[in-house]
Amino acid sequence: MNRSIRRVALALGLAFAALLANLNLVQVSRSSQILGTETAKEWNRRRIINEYSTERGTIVAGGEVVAESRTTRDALKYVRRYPLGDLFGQISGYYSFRYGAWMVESKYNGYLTGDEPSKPSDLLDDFLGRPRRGNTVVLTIDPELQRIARAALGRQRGGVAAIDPETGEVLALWGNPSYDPGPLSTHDFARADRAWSRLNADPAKPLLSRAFREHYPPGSTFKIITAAAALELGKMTPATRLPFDRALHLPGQSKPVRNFGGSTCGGSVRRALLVSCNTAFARIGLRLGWKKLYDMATRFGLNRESGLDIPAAPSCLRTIAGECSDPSMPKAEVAKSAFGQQNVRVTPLQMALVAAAVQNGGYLVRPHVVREVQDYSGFVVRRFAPAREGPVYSRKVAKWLREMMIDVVRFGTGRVVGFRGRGIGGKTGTAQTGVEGEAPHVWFVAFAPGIAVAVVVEHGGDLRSEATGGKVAGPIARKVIEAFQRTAVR
Amino acid sequence: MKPRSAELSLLILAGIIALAAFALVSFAREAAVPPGIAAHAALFAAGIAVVHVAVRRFAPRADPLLLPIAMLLAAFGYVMIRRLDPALGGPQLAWIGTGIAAFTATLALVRDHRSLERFRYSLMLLGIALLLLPLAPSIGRSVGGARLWVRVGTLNFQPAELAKVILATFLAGYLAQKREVMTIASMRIGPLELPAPRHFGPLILAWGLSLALIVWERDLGSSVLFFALFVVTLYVATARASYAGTGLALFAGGVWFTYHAFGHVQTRIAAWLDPWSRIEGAGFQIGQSVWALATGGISGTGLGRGHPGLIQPGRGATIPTDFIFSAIGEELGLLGTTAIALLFGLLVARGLRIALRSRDAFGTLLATGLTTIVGIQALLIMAGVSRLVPLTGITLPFVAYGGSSLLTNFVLVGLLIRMSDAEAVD
Repeated sequence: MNRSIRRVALALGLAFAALLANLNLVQVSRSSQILGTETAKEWNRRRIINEYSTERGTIVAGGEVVAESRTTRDALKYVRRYPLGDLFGQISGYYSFRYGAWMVESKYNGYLTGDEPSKPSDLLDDFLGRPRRGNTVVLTIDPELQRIARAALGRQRGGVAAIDPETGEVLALWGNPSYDPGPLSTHDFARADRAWSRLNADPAKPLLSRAFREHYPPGSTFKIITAAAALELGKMTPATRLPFDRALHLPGQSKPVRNFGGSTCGGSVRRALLVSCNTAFARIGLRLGWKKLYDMATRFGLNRESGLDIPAAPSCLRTIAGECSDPSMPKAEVAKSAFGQQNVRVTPLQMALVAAAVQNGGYLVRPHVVREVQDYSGFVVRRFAPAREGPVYSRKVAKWLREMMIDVVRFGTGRVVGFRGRGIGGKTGTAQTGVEGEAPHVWFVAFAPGIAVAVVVEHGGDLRSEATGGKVAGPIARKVIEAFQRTAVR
Repeated sequence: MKPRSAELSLLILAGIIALAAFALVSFAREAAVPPGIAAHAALFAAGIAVVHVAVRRFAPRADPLLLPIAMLLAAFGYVMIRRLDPALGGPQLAWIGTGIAAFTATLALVRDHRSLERFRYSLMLLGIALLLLPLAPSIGRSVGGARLWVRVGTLNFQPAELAKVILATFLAGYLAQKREVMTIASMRIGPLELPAPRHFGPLILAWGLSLALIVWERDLGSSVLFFALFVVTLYVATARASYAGTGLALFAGGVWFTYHAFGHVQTRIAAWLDPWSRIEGAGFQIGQSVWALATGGISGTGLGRGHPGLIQPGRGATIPTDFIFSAIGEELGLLGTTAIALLFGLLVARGLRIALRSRDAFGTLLATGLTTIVGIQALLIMAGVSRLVPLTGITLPFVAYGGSSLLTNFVLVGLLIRMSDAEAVD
């Protein structure tokens, strides 16, 4: 019997070995994968209980506190406060026990909880059961500029995006209406639930930032991209002559392309941009074909993810059901897309990137709202370096296009804005919403040394005059640029 | 060192470990020295004194490791149960006291283990009766879908626990007598050589009946445990691999049958294979258990500092009875779970050593059977909560909350100690 007992002992020994190996897998080797799945994030409440028991890092912008943690007496040790209210709500996002985290609070969560970047002392802290301290996340946005943008847009619905054309740092990113993340983050769950359902039921959609998460047809501001394609890929120069038209009939379309106010226009490419001539740009579109137009739009950052470090909507040459669609399109559609109608949809942030590229010599910068992460003593533990791609066109084209946009402000449709100073360029835009009788959205896209701005005002325009883009959206861009120049001098 | 002095030192060490754990829980949760620390020290000392005196008096030459292992597991289990649910601390302490009394009574009453051999058929009937008891209409109770409880007055009891030890004794007695004739094949079924049905009959009857009852009562864990007990005892008695093979084949057939016949088995298997997509339902318990273990890491969150309460088993199962190993894994990490697993491994090793050294066949088979019960039961639940095998609702011996289980396991250790005393040579 002894041999059989030894075999039983061996079998049980192997079973114990398998158990120990499995415990090692579950508890140590694979534990981070097990706890890192989407299911675990949603259903393992240890995660959020632990997060709430550590002092979460602060989010700051230009020396002002955007979000901070305060101790409470309830079961969750810390509660999140947002002293600036709606000014940064759409950027910081919320940190809610009920609704999770969003935007910077979500994307930079690891830094805010102190789990990232990992330090050698973490191991000792964990061993001793010492709570980690969250890191401070520093935003690129200037709160003063953000306030100027908020005041300039006032009660009009729309968005303002301003970036540094050299680094891609976002300087202002305001969408109206916005929301205060405070009530969502409170531990008074009934209040949080009320705030959540109110925000979600609001037809003005305050949770959706009009500066980087809402699409608009770009109208004539898209002519910047078409002009770039014509000069770089279409073998044209600013002096290339185009026919004068009052209306342009397109194949398969009953309604011809008309100019603003029913005028007749044409002439050189430069002239066409200055007066924002639709028929001329429709002709440029027909000459280029969809491939070249699509190519240049993609070089400027359309038809792909925005590259912003918080969730933003992509911009597309051809948008179907909110997403970038198959780029090939019939001729009539190319012609209309060339002056920013049909299915072109862009965010203000994207148009600011286009203006930035014109300002900096043709480089597409990667936009970001977080500059760096500091530990509790202010030591910088992570800096987000600027990144850019390009150039999207040759130096010759860069010079031409920049001069043409400066001329728009000096002599063209942008003259009504009344910019003073050198090196300021821009482009107006009036975009039909596609609904008959509805006032169009108006745009103004501008650059000045050190800043690129895009402004959209919903239903702010008048179809009879392209100049409304300059009259309504232009002053908003001008206020932001002038405020920037004042602080830059200081 | 003399075995009894070594045992006493180890018992005192076990007491100190449990007392330290008790204090740590209080430090972590109330940030204070627990008010009951002196009372607990006195209680632990009293328990140690009773078992020590009992062994010194009734089994002075017994193995010195078995008792400290059992006592450490029971004392640590008590601390953990009290930390999980303070209301269960008192009852568990009372059950440990009852267990110690049963242990002492076993040593005092069973002066020679061979005396049990005579009662083998009475034991078989008693075992089957115990298994049947929960099906009796007036006293049987269902908890969480499994009908395996008996209620008499205010006392709840799980008869299957005690039936395990009784049936192991019957098996050992029966096979010790019949093993000679059973190794002589007189019947061939295909490639299998089997003894005459006359010798095999009662065994098949007891086996089939107990399994049928367990399937009836929906207690999967005990079903697997009885299978293992039969197969191992039969294999050791006859030394024939064909028995082990037949047993495994029958086991596989049983698994196949129960899988297709019972919805609750399918649910268990599905929850084991993929708890994550069923996290809102059948996968919740096992998913939460795995997260608790994974949270523990190497050294755990610290006693009293984790959140094992989040396992929230529901449907009759509770953390102190079914998921205490996961709770230990969360708060003491891999170090804690490994320590518990190794204690059971050591218990199994010492038990099989007793089986090897026994001078009579009954003793060998009884020690093997008892060791198999405690070893397989511990393995099943530890592997179950860590998702190595499908989860079954059996208790972790000595550690988990439950009177029937504690009482039975103390009797079991008493029998092993009795046998180790008999075989000692000096």
